[in-house]
Amino acid sequence: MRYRHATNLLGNRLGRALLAPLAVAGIGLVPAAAAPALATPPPSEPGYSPTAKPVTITVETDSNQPIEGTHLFPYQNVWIPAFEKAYPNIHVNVIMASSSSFDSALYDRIIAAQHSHAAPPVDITDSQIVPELLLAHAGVTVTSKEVPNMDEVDPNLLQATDYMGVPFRGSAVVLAYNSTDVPSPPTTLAGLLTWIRSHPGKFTYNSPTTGGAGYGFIQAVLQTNVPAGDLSVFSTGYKPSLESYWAPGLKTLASLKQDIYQNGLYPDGSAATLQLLANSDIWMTTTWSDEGASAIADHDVPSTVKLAQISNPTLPGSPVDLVVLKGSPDQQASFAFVNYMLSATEQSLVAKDIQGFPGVEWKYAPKSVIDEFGNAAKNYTPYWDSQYTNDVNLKWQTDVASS
Amino acid sequence: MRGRSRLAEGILPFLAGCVPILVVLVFTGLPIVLAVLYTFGDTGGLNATVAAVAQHQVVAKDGLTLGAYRAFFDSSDLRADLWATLWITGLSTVILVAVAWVLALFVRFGNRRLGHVASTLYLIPMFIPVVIASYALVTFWEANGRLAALLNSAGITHLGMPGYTSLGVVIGLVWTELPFGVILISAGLQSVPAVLIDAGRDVGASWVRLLWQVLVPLNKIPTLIVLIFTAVGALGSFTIPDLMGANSPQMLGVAMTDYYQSYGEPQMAEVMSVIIFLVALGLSCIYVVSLRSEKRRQAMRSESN
Repeated sequence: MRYRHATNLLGNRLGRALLAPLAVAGIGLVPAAAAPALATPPPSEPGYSPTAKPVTITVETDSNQPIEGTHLFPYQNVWIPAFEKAYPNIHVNVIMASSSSFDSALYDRIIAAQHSHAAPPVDITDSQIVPELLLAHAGVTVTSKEVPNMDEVDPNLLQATDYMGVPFRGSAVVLAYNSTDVPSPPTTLAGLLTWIRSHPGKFTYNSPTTGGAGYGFIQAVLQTNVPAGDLSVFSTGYKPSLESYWAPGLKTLASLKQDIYQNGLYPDGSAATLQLLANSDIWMTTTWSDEGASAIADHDVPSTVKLAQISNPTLPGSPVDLVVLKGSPDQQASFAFVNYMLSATEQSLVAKDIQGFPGVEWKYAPKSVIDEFGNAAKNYTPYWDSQYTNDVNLKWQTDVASS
Repeated sequence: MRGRSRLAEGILPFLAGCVPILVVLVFTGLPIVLAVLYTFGDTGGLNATVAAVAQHQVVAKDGLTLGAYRAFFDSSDLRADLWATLWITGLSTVILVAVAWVLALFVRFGNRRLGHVASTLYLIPMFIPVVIASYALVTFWEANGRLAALLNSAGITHLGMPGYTSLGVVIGLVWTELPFGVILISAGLQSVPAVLIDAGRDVGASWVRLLWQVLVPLNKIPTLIVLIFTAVGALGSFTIPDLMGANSPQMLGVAMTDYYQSYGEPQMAEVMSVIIFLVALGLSCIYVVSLRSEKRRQAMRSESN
């Protein structure tokens, strides 16, 4: 894999080196009148004129897996070629983070560049350092003036990033169930709890420290007793006193233990729970939408396995944000890129290539994407802040696992 | 001239010896001191960074406090984890020493050809990485694993499987530590002169008596080494209990990783490591003291001869 990746990069670089002089020569030769025909960006394109000089922007990402079943990387080989076709005078470089230490070193360089008022090492990032970058106010605040397609994004998600991050994809925790065993799956959390109690041993979730799919179920149960007015605090701040609202939910989870698979066996990670579902040891579990969708696509689970989102409350999820960094030159080109990632073209590619939820609200999503996710295509509750999730993990261990 | 040779003989080797000691002091000693101070509520100085991101920590107003340790012993969950750590360590060590003795005896005194086979087989765990071995063991033993399927087809159902239980952790620990134990004890047995055993047999001593009065006393030190080293290793083990253990209770090695990484409570994680360190220190004291008294006894014996 690593080798393939290396040759791929080399191939790109070689190709670029060969093509670049040709492209420059080509632009010089084309008569001015023909230029607009070359580039016909969509009408919503923000202030980026087709006659503008060619620029290069750099995107950093930690999505470093090829598209399932292919040798293609989503950004390099699919999403960016689509963008460069629509915007021929913007060239996009991609840096794939190989490890989290690469990401944290990059974070340090970005902050250092800001302190010395220099251009940051990359223009846009969607990697795991985004939360820290937002805390350090390292992103440019964007509005729908720069990125018109932002109007289609859930305002709650934008607010959570102080309008510095634009969610262009996401994933949520959903139910995965075998439709031969469960013809009519529960549609609400209360319905799910009743189902678990009436089908002892046929449901489990992974322990929260081993993955978000199990955590998501726990958060939904704890959330039911939190007053609606206090709910937003859990995803924007940290007030430990509010955790007293979790007590009834923790009791519910503890009392559920006897009806969980093997009288309370919570596997390590959602891959293990999907395995149990595939073996029909259990009939229902929670999983990540993208993980579940690709397990179905790859036949890791029987084709009778379906995904569904519940309501009251919904299981949580999290978006992946694109952040344009402060001090980066050619910000117009970066905004054009972010905007294009929210377009129907790219949103369909994201769903197809990595089973990602759209960044735009479901009502604006392309029909093919809505059809692909079926009953799982619903809005999700935001994930709680890390200090709360830490406390959820601990309270689950002391009050549920050891009860 | 003499001065230089003394320099070469005395001070230079001393300085060379200082390098690793300094490295250990700076990169291990200092962090240990800081971590221990942090468990007593000292959140200033070099501990400020870790304290800034920690949740639910005990901070000493002035001086030091035992608050974090009190919180550890107040939590019934953590007390259960400590107890599980101790009994899993004890049981796995005792089983390991017993199994290692049986295997070593067989290799020394049993059928020669089978002994060769056994002495190759018991080395296998040494060449299988712990992660792979524990994953293989636990999937074999889990409720829907191969073993359960075999028993099921033989009509045996409802038998508790050791996968994802503390008992499974005991088996896993014995499995991985077995080569070390057998190698040391059989090396000890090989060095027992055949004359002694033959002499014992000539005067009509039974096997049990030979074992108890000749072999065990002559192998005290290797057995002690196996006991202490296995116990210290089991105390701080992580991979096997993490992959094979129950959701609760957890061994402290697993619990401390969770407190550090998943609960945002580095102070409690460090309290646990100090407690494990103290238990291991107690074990090493037993080792040093009994080693010394054994040496003294041997010296006296050789003098009286």
